[in-house]
Amino acid sequence: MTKQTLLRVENLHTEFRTLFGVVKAVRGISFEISPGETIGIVGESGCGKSVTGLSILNLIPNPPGLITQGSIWWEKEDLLKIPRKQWLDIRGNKISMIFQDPMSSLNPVLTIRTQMKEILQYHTQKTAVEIEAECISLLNKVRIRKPKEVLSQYPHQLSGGMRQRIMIAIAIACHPDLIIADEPTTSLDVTVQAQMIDLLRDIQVRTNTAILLITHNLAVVAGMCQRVLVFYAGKIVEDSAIDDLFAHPLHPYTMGLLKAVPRLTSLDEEPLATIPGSPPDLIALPTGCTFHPRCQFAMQICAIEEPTLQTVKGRKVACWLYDPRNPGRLAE
Amino acid sequence: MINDSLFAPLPKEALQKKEKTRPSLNFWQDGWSRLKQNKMSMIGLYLIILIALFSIIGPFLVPYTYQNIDLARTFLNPSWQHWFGTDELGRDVLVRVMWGGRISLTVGLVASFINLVIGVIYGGISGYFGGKIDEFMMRIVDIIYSIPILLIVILLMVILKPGLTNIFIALGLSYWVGMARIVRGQILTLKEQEFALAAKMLGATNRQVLFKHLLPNTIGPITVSVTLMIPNAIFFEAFLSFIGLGVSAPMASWGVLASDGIRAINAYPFLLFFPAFFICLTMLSFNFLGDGLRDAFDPRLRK
Amino acid sequence: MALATYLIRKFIYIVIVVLTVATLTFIMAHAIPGGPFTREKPLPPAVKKNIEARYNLDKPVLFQYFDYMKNLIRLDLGPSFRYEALTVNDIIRQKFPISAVLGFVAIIIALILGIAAGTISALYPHRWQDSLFMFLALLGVSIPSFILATFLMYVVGFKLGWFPVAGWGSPAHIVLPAFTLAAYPMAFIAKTIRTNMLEVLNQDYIKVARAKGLPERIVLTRHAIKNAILPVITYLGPLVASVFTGSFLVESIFAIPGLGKYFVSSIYDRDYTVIMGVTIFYCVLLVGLNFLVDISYTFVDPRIRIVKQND
Repeated sequence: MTKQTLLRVENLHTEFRTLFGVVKAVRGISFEISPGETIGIVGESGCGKSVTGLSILNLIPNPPGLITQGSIWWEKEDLLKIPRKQWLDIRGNKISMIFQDPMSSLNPVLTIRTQMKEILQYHTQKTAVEIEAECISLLNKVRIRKPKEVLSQYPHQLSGGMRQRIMIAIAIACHPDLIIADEPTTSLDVTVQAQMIDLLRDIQVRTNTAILLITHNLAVVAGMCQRVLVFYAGKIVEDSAIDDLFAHPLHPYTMGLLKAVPRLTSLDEEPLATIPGSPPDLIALPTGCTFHPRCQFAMQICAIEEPTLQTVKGRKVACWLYDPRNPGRLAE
Repeated sequence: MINDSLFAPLPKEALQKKEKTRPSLNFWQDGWSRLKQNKMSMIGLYLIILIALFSIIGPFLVPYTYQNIDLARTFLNPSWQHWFGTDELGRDVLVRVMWGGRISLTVGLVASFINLVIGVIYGGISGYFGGKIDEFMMRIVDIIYSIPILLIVILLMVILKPGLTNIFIALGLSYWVGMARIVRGQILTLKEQEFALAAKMLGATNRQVLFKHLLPNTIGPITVSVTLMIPNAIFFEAFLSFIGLGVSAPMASWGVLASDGIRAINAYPFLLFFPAFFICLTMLSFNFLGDGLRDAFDPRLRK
Repeated sequence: MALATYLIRKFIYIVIVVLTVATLTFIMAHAIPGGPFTREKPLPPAVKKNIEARYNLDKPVLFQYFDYMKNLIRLDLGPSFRYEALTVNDIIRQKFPISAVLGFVAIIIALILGIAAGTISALYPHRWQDSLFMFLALLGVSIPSFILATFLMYVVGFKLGWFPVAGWGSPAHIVLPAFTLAAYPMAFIAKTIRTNMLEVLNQDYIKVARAKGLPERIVLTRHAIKNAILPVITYLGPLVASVFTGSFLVESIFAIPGLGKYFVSSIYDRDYTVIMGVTIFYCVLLVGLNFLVDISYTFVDPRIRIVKQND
């Protein structure tokens, strides 16, 4: 069965021009999402995962940000080439987005009603009465009690969890084909985090919406995604199905990430592993493989040339360890 | 091109050197490098230096003094002999403008300095001790703040009689409330931060915490506010001169020269033009610099 | 309930401010060496004594103070020292309406043009519109009003002859002085709005609004401008203050028979009761206005609720 493609990102490059130089936030990202699929993007902060999400919706602030190369295919159209007007029909309607911080994602001087209504007003032909009813049903869907009261309230009167539920309600209002969730749980309490993940999974099962879940939390990915893209310094270093990734991480960075997750099951008192060094400076990237200064397997070539994403046993990884020319290749 | 030797392990020592980081800058270096990027601010800074040189050194290079009266040569248009012309008593306008600059700049600097000292101490104490003391001190500030500063200055000047020292006193006594508010706000947030608590835990006295740990951290906003206060003081002095409460003859600030010029505007516009030009240029330069400093030192705008 | 306590508190505060101001002005007026009747030509002692008796100047200072305060509470600011037939109340009643009209026009000009220029600048950052408006705004805050007034009078009034140079009476007379008065606050508002707008446009909720697929027009009008303009409301108090104090110069230069011009001439004349009275009048006006601004702000911005301020 050939998989149908919903969104295909090809060779995306996004830069920010700052006082100190050009920050190459995304340096040639390519991936695909099928309808109904849930893909996770993981990586440290500053690895370009949020920028990728914003680039898909063309929400990169310009200046200083700029998409310099690449294409984003959606229904046979390159989103980077369509006129501005057409964008409005995609955003919120076909692709919607949930942001990291629910505290700042809602406009403080407008009621929840105004902020929910507007998305329906612009993307549907519904009457005012229908829209009001739809808002209430959406709030019910995200399990908010007393939706009528909440609609007339202002954001500062609601808790963080409530606000994030409202953001989710807004995101699903127009039945989009894809939801980009940028760290939707990071700024919430742990108990609320679990509820949010639960809610998202539930919505996904019911509506069969594709979700691009951007997070640094591997546990969240494990709970929701079928496939994972591991980002490092603006590139994908590993692209793999979730079970394979957890069972046999290929890239040394992925190995490090997995080891850095605390486990309750480990009996001996071994200290929690960390990845040595710090994330690279995106203005002055290391030569060769950007991970080599922190890599325990670093070879001569790693400092000279950057590896490309190659298929290894049905999975993709960008690492010289798996290069066919490597005599000591890790062939597992 | 790619051969087996390239796949040999990379020695760890090579890694240490490879790890590049940008040099970290301290507060002033960081601010200065931002300021240098801002062309308008740098122009402002250079203009201020030029104007200061003009006023300080200028009078030594001109063969007249500000009080040389020559009734045979009144109201002369600008010429090679008198670049800026002469006034109703035949005095050279160029040298008077230079002297005016000395006075106006002095007013700006001294008044700002007085404000700085009163404002920082008052705001620092109020913010640091908080509670009832803060409440009481800020009520006083609120009351002063709700009266237009200019009215206070005018009242003080009416009582104190015109003169340079009294202008310092009047401006100094009335303008510090803004600075006190800024400093207090900064201290209020800073004192809750870990470094202040840490200093206290290590046994620093109140005075040490306030002056060594907290106030140095408010230097950014204070610098900006002082830079913007100088042109304000110059403006107030000009205003006072205009309503007859400025420095007295034969000395003359730019404000006095300009308001004298206004009275002769139709016949001899140049008498207004030169002092007015210097007032505007100075205010503009300080505003340019102040805006740049705010962008450079305002931590909220940092990324 | 909460509103009532808030209002009462604020009112008490206003009374304290006014009494403080009155006391301070009184002390200042009496600290003047020589007293108000020291003129170039000394008055005959008999006349002087007579006058002093009339104004209670021969009584103890404390008596004078309570006398003045008693009158103040009855809203009576007393007679003018120089022009005995006039009371300060008469002067204010006569002259203030003119200043008020002028000030009102100036405030409207400053608000409309300032907000427009600031918004446009923020929407086209670092383009020519922005550079132009921000340069004008810098000129606006840098040129002292008396220089701008003289410049406009000389160029637009005298040389070009578009508007009358001085005087009061027709709408054309208002244009130059109102514009002069508006220049500084207009520039300040434009700069503030621009900064606020740029800050607001960087907020997450603007990103969210765009991600909803709203047209840019709606993003700006509904989501950005309201948030950017709100802080300007708090500037209304200082704005009015700046227009009042500006009127001292502008009315003098344009020969407008308003309270500002009268105030300046009473400073020249050392007409102490007028100086005191007008100062108190302006303070009451400003404190009252600030009070109104505070209240209206709580209604416009949902985040600020009076209840919260109280506890």
